[in-house]
Amino acid sequence: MFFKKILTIATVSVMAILINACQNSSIDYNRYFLVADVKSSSFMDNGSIKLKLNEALSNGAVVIQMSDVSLYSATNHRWADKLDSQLKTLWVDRLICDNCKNLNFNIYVSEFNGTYDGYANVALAVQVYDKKQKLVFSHDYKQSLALEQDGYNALVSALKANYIEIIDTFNTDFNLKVKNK
Amino acid sequence: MIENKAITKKSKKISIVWVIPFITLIISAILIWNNSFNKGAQITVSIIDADGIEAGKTLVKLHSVTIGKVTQVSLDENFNSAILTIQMNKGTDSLLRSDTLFWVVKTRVRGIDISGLDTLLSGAYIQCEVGNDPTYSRSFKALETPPVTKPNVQGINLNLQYRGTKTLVTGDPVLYKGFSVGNILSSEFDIDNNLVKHTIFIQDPYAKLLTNSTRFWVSSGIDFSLNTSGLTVETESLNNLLQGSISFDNFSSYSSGSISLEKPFTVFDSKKSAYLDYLSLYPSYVSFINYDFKGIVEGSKIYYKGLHVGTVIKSPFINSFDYVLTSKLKPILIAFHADDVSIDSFKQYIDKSIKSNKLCLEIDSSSLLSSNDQLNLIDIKNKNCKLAKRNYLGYSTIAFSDMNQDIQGLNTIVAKIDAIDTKGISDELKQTLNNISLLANNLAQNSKAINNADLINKMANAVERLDTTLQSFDKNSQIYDELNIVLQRVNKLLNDLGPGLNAIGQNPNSIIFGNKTEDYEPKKAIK
Repeated sequence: MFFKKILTIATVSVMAILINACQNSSIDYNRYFLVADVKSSSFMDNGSIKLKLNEALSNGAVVIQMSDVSLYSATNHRWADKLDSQLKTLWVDRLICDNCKNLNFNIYVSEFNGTYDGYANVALAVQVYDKKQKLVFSHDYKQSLALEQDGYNALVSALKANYIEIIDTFNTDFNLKVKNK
Repeated sequence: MIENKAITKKSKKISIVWVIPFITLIISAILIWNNSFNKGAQITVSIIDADGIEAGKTLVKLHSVTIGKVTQVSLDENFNSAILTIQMNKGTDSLLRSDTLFWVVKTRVRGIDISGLDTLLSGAYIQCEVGNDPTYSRSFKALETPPVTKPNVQGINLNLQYRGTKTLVTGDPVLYKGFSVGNILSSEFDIDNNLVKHTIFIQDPYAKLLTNSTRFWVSSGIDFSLNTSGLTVETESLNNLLQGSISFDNFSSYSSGSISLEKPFTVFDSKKSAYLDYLSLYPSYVSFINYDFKGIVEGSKIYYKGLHVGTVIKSPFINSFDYVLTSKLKPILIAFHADDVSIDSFKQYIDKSIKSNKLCLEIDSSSLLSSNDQLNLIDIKNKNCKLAKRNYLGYSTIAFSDMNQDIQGLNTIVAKIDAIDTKGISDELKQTLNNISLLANNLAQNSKAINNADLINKMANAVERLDTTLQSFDKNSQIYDELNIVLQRVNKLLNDLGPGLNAIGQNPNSIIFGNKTEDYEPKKAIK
């Protein structure tokens, strides 16, 4: 009887130790935010900009391309808000054009991820239509930026910087085309 | 000179070496005594089938207490049965009486009764039931099935005979108003008489329920009957459906004399046929009806001034089929059994009415067009009441009303219906309907203008209300915004749950042990 009690206590203790030992070490509650420095009016949606995101990037996690045919979605490194919403807000914030109110922008972001070799890739396609649904401008952009440091913070910063650079490039290209028309 | 001489003394102590053999001797003595003298008697039990019996393992029990063990299983000299040699425990000699019963307890399934489930794990064992005979015995014959009745239960045995086809076996219950009061002890088929003989046991105090009005019937299965009255379905309890039983009842307190055990009792196929046989105890009479009245069958009711006073208990009531070939009328046997009326005084009244030709049976008019299965007893002089015979097979007869006049009346009604000029009526009706239609059109046109204005207002109101409702779901409405917010939150929640669910899907034990894998850490570019 005494031996049985000892055995029971020992078994429960071992099981408790095992379960505790196998627990996750730490959980990261940080969430990545791309639009912390964006003016508030940029958050208001006037409906003229439609941004779609590649489905593989829409699961809320920071994505890293591990090979030519595989992507890795982080479990603990996630976006604070929907990525397409943040990218659209950034676009609204950085867009410079005289006649933006009469134009409709269709943007498709196909890449917004890191790579296994330390780069931040951004690729997108832009189409601009006037109110009569006539295509005014269309262009694809793709750019890679090397990570200066290890870690997700560096990756997200690089992605953001890369994306903003593309917007600025678009601004230049689009306004030039409009001017030359 | 001094002589050195050894002085020897005999030791008086016993050597310690002898302890071991002494202990061995004691132990041997104990074992021999335990094995040989500390046992009960050795008995033999003959059994037809030793299935589940193992030498050295199968126990013999009484009231769940082990009283012996099977030591050997062998065949008898003629190879007709198995002989079990059982070593009884000490102190069990008084149980070994000539009428002590032994049987094998194993799992048995019968209907919804399942017994011996414990033997599925423990294995079969032999159950013992001590007898009453003081004669000592060491040789027994085992029962093939457990005894139906418990020991020392008082009661009465009855012999029954059954000519039907429903199956009843030993052990089936005997029921009184659905309550089990006994069992079938044995059943055998009598080839000579083409019937089944049952012996039943009814335990005390229920044996007192048996009177000479008691009738037995088989209650099992589902009874269907389809007649002019309709479809009747009678079912028994689930237990009876699976197992079968014999039921009995006295139906009422009329004729409650003591039961006679000389002749076997008849078991009827159904409660209805048992009841009809029981009704034969009541004052019975014969009446002759037309063969055309097929609705009058056994069980048809007889009413007197609206009260149910009798039942047809036999139709046709003949002792030979030859009678049917030569007769124009069908004899039926009727029993009057009104519960609310003193039977004897009612019988006196009927006898008196028959003598004065004032009693008559007729088909109940309300059943003429439907089932035609009820009779009315009338006590007025009617020229249509005809008495075929005064007596028939020892029974007084009651006259039966000639139905021709009523049938003629019906035919007259049918003819009158036939004679109605339905074509003329239908043409007139058609014309009337056309006029109504024209009138309705005129009315509609005159009131159209009024109706239109009213209709438009109503439609306008309806559309306005619809518009208001739709606006509340507009893109800029509050409801839309709130719905949008909720959907976004749900979306976010699902996104957050995604990795966890993925992990569980790929590695279910991560629910308990957690997810060990860390995220891949991005590296800076190698330039």
